[in-house]
Amino acid sequence: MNSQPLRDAIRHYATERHYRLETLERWLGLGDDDARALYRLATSLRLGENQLRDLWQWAADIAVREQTTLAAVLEAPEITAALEAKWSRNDRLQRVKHILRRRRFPQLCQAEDRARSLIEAAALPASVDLALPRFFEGEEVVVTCRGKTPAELQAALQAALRWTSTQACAELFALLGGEA
Amino acid sequence: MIAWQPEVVFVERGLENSRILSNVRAYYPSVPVHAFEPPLPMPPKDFAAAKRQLVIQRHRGSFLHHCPAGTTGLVCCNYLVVHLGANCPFDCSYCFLQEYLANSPALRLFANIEDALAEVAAVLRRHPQRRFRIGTGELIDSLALDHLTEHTRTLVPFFAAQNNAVLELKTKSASVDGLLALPASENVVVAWSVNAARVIEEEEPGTAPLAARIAAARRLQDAGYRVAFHFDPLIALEDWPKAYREVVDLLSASIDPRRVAWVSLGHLRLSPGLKRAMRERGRGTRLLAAEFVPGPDGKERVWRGLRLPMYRSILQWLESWDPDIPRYICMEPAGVWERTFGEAPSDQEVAARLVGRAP
Repeated sequence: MNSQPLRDAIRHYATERHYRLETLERWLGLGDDDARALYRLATSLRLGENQLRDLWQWAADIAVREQTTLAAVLEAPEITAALEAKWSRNDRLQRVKHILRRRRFPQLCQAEDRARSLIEAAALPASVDLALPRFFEGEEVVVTCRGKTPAELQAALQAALRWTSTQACAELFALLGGEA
Repeated sequence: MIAWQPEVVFVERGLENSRILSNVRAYYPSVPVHAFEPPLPMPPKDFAAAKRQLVIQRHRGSFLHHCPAGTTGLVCCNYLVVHLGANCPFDCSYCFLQEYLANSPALRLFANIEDALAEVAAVLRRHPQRRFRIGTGELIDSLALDHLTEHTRTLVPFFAAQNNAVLELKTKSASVDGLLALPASENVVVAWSVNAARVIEEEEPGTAPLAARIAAARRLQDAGYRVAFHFDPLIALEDWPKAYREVVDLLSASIDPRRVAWVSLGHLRLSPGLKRAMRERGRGTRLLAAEFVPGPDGKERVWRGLRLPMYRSILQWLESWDPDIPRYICMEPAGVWERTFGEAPSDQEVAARLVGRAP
């Protein structure tokens, strides 16, 4: 789409979805390539204003850090693949969010992956849950033990206690200490 | 003298013969001056343009406040601030004033410093057992406009005469001539915000370059003053080890560590309003692209995996320079203190370590 039809299409989409004027004007203020990439994202996923703004901000931050363009970020092969996949709209949206989040927060996501694999590798019974602070912004690992009988509870507690002596447990706390 | 210049001056009636206005006229003879009877209605203005509207007025509220950085859940150094003005001649891209004073369309200088010091004196008398640390650089750089206010001529002798207070003048300028004309006092500490040279160039326009700040600090040390340094805001640059090691190396090459009162570290903290203001003004876009996550106080900071290694490294370099310089971290929870210092002191202990250092 060239400039005028593109901008007409953007106006039409934003008006139909009740976008605020401020967001529309910001979108129309982009260069053609960036505006077009955002239009493809919005229409493919039928994004409301808040959803678009959040993904747009992540993509813009990625573009600044990687010294590239918004269009280049949004037209990356994996984003295109997600948009064109034969999945539900929600599944495609979640996939795009996942891709952009990993690129927006690469080191944080790497640490989260490590935490997840440490917890999975612990192979704790279903009666024991481990929870870390959101974004690692805290000091506590919270262990929840459940049991329907004293014996079940005892078994859960013993499994959790054994886990606290493992290297994996030490490494989880190291992640909280910024020692990834 | 800094490059800032007012475009217009409004002076409250009754202050036409004030020292501040007299200095303004001397330095900026062609700037128009208008007298006003308060309140002064001023139309909203772009934040940067507002800094060039100078208002000289009496402050009628309280001058002395607890530092707004003190928040439940964070270790605090019990700092108090005295407001002798509002808004700053500098315009750092990350400055919290973009949010805090978003609707304040002028740079205000308060002429009634004697009222401010009367309030401070009353508090000091009421609590003779407590040792206070009081700063003037919260809402305005402490020294950048000292050529106009000459506040140091009043502040330094006042604090020199106190038994239980230390004044901190915090600046990003190299404007120390006023202080050099006064006898130094152990109760007056002059502090510089310091940062990687690249951050100063790109994000702190109009401020003194790092080398000039350090040179000014050295001049004051030679004149008998104690100095301090605030590595704030720390920025998670890709080459942060090299960039911040250079700052510590410059300090250790020029500054006498025995006359350093304290050094603090603090990472960039973003409230939602500040982030919004920065984006709307197109400022600090590279800073905002770092991996910021929300903290327990509602402010975003770079996530721990980037933040804590920086604290540890810089603290280690400072320890190598001189292990006796009191160091602290600004606006972090006890857990971060534990993981960097190996301990989490109480607010009172932090304060005592800072104002208890022997001269």
